[in-house]
Amino acid sequence: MARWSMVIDLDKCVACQGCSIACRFENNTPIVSPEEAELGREMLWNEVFPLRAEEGDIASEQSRFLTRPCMHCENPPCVKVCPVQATFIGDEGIVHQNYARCIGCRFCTVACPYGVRYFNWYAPSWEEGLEQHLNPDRVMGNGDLEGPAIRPRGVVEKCTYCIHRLHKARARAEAEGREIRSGEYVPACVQTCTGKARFFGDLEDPNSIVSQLSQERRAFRLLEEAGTRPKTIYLEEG
Amino acid sequence: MATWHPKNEHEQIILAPVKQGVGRDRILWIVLASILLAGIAAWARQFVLGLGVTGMNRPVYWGVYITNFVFFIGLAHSGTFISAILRVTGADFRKPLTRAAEAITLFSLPFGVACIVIDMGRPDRVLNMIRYGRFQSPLLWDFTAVSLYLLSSIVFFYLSLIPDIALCRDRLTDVPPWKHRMYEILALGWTGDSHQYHRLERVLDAMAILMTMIVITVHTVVSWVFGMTIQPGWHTALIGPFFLLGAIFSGTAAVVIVLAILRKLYHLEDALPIGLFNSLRKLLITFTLGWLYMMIAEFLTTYYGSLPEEMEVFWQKFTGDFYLIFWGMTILVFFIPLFIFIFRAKDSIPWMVTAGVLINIGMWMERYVVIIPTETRPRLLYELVQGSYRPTWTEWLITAALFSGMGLLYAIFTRLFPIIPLWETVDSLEHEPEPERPEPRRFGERTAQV
Amino acid sequence: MSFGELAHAFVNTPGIGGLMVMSVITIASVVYFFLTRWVIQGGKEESENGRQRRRRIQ
Repeated sequence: MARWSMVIDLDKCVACQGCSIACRFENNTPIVSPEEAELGREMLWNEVFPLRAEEGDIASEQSRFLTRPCMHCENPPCVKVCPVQATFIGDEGIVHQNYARCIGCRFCTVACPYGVRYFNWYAPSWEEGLEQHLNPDRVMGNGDLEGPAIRPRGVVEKCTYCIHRLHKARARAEAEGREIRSGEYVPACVQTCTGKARFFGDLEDPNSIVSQLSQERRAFRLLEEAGTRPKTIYLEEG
Repeated sequence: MATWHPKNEHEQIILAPVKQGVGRDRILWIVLASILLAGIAAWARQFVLGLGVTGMNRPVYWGVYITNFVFFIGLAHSGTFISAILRVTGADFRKPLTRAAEAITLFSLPFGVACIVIDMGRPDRVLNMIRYGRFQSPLLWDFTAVSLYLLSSIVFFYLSLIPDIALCRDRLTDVPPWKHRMYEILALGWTGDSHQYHRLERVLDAMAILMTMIVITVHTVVSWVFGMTIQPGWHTALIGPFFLLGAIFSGTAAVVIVLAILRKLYHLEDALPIGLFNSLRKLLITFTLGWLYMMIAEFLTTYYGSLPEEMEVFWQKFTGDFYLIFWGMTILVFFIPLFIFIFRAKDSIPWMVTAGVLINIGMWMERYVVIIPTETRPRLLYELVQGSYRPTWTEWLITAALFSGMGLLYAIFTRLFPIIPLWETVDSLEHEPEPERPEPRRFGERTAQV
Repeated sequence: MSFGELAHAFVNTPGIGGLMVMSVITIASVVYFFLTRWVIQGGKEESENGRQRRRRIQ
């Protein structure tokens, strides 16, 4: 069984926010008005944050950034608190979010220490013309609605490592009667990354790029001390 | 056999408000009902448009609604504390207050539950909690505990009300027919037989123990909704006991307020002697000091540990965005009430009420200041995004509606049923001509009525 | 299946939580119903049968 993982090399990241935009168009993330964004309601499953410089830090001359998709923890705090299993960890380690079942209690958004979860305060809307160009992909069926499917108001959404791409890749592989090839399934942000700073693959496979990179001395995970065991792994700067 | 009723010397004054019927209360009822309706309208609008009409945002995903939820559940602890815990410990001064206190429980609980539904993004999917309920989620613990608490409170309250309903049925003959019919049905054919009283006492004693356990569970579980996350300021073992103490504290203070209003409006001075307030004063002094103890235990531990993410929240409260609410809360629930209780409140109902009101305002602020500051500085995001929160009019209107709704139910109740238990405040439950009694007693020794 | 797995399945399976809530409430309702009935019946049969029963016990 695969264990999907992403490695982000912060040394190569140029903070172009290409990942955020690619994610937005891949996953049909709703666009909010500037006033709403002011309130802190913008939705970017993959957000790029400028890091606050420590006071008196010489390195603070240099701007630093952190790009943050979902960590897809092995021990996810959000999954533990969900009352209806609208969010759950799949066989391949991806933390799913089922819009069809979510009751909007926002317990998971509060429990997630990484702030990767977003809530649909209003029904999603797009600017004139943009709604003609939404990604038609979705993962659905049997009380399930995931991936880029249009979310109703009042439910929580989050990065799914572009789970619809996994479904597509698997369908293709099954049709051809073979395993998924390495590199056949990558999320949109990895595909688009300008600095080639993102890598994606299977942690179970010792030869995969993510397995190799996760062994590097520079490798670290966000809030390792919280015991959430993220599968999104960072490579430290410099 | 004719129904037997114990002789209560205050029967006339206690029954007077019930006899009188609606009267001038109508204005109060209309005002409260209008606020409630306005709140329902605001909620309907929120349901149609989405939770965006509130001030909640990222990362402050929970706001005034959850604060209200915790506050109302806390308020509900008044009744159970007075009637169950004091029953178990055998504090007999509770007797005249039990029903007034328990009515607070009964009428605040539904509004606490309503807060959760109001706060949900998809209230139409509330049944998913049963269809797909996962017991790992603390929300399910809440769901179980609060529903059991609500059910048990209704039964506990109703059982102790039955003899008085029967009394109303027999004494209040000139009330409107629907009202009389209601008494007849609700009295369940109570005859006042001494065995009935005996069994009732036994059941109430047994239930008091159960209620004590439930009440402790309920508020601990409410706090665990916060405590089970790994967010700074919430993830502490102290949060359970602290919430529980706060709940009983604000609940008891609410009893003081309600009691004073009832005493004044319904002329119950004789039935509710000032000694009751003095007993409550002693309890409240204990709780005030207990609250200080909890505060010191919590914040001194945090400060010495000095974990960076904990300190972000700590300073948010002490000097940051929430310093006004935090220090205001400290003054309102601790300094002023303690001063009042020690130097002013003995034999003075106005001072007791003042302190009670301050404590309840302060405790609402306390709930707010426990919940919101943590969210503005969540664990990782405090380095990345700093939250702020300003409730909108929708949230305030719905909050006002919740309190009005509770007041309305309470006001209506006092006109339908005696608010002071008649059968529990008599000197003797013995049937005069029937000497044969004592039976083996199982649950707790009743104070001798022989 | 080990005990740990069983416990995990118990808390993690959707629906079991709902079942727990419903059973707690149902059991409580039934108990309260019979308690109430028992209290009210104190005035009817107790005076006859109950007294005899007690005498027999004594």
